[in-house]
Amino acid sequence: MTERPLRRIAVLYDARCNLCRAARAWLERQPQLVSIEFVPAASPEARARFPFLDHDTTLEEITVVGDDGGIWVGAKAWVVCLWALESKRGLAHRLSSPAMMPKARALVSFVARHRMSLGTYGEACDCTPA
Amino acid sequence: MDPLVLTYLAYLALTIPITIWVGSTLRRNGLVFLLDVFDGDEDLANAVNHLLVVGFYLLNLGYVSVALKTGAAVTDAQSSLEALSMKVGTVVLLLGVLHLTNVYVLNKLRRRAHITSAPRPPVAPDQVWLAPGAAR
Repeated sequence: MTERPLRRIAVLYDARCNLCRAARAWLERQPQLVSIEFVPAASPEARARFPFLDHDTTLEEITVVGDDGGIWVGAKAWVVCLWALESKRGLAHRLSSPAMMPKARALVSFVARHRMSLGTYGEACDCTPA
Repeated sequence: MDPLVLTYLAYLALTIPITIWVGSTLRRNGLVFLLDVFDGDEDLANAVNHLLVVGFYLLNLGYVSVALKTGAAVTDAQSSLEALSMKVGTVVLLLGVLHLTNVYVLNKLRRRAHITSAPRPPVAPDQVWLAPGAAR
């Protein structure tokens, strides 16, 4: 476990999915305390920059890579994204409590599994997964 | 002297010192919280503390003054004590509510300041890649 302050994060999201692109657009609009960068999951860019990741897994669940070398997946990745936003830190702390984390995990994994049917999948793609 | 006037004087003699006591408690202990919220900036903490305490005195002394008049007929020691305890009790309850609200707000400010300046997210990473600097 690393103790370095987290200053920048890269979010690997599924650029083929409308819901994920909408989530990205929403995150981008929020004032950030920690700068967030978006990289389409499993894209050539992601493979070049994060050779240590299992890129098939990153297409299944949202993955966050911090400038400290930390890797967060799924609900934890969402908590880190919310924590990076100026106005959502309190929410991130509430979600990370032992009582809330299992619920958040269930919701995030449910949405991740069904994201294809939630919104039109594959339309207006801005990336080509390698 | 008229028992009603005596009751009013006793009311003021009780509620004003209680208000001052609570106000000075607020001033002394609130400063510790505010120093933490404002990252040790003593001038700012003192200023905010002073403003809060002034607001507290205005609210309370204002209430004490507005609530002075009693509708009860005060004729003897018993009715005087009853009216007095009702009035003083109301003021003390109000002071308690204001004081606890103040503590709650101060604590919330402090918590928010801590959360905003936290260097790390509240969840530990699932994995750590041992060559940091990836998110350039």
